[in-house]
Amino acid sequence: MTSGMLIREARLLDGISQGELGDRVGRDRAQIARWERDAVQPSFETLRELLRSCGYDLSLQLARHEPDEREAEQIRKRLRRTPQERTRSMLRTLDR
Amino acid sequence: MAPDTPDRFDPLGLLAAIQRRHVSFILIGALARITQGTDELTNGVDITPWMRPTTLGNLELALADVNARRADGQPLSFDTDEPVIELNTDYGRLKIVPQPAGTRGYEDLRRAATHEYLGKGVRPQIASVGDLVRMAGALYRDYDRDLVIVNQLRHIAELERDLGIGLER
Repeated sequence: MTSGMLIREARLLDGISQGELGDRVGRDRAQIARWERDAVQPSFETLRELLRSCGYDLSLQLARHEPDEREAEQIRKRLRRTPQERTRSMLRTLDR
Repeated sequence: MAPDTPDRFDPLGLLAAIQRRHVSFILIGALARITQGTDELTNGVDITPWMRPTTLGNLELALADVNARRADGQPLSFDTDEPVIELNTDYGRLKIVPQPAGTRGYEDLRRAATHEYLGKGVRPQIASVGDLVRMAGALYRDYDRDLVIVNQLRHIAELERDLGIGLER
């Protein structure tokens, strides 16, 4: 789920056009379209303002982050190295 | 006056100099996390020394060996309640942190720390993954970066438990 998808979903549920949403929040239609395409991301506060102006709000709670499998494999790969190898690898990267 | 910024980073040389003077310390901070498996870069060494007079005397000798001077240009002294003493040395930056955030200092960290060989004869005591999580979690200076690091450390701790590597408190 992206911020653009949230804005579009809220707007369509409210049954208004991009221009009408723009009027409600004092932005032009093109800016609403950019946000919905995720060409640019609104700030968190602006996102909530956009959703509230459609009669919706975000329901947020913290959830434990679970690394995806690719990240987990990278961590496993680093753990297979010794502390000496990990230090040496970091120093080589710094030297580049 | 030109800023006193080290143009060299030789963490093993710096740690070897401290080790040569028999200073009891725990390696903490980014370099400790890297040795434990996080993916990050650093150009400094952070340590928590044992704050007893004998150790601090030895540390003073080691700091003289590496031409340590305070980054802010003030005279070097351990008789201070500053949480961090930032130094520049001939081997790079060194931070002395008597009581890292979220911990009670050397004796607290020593319980779970392990000696690890890092090369060139250097074998410091390194803070445990669990203690590094505590420290990183307590700091949160740069929220996004620190959150990534904390998550990496937690995942390392979980994998170590799964693989039976090391024991966490």
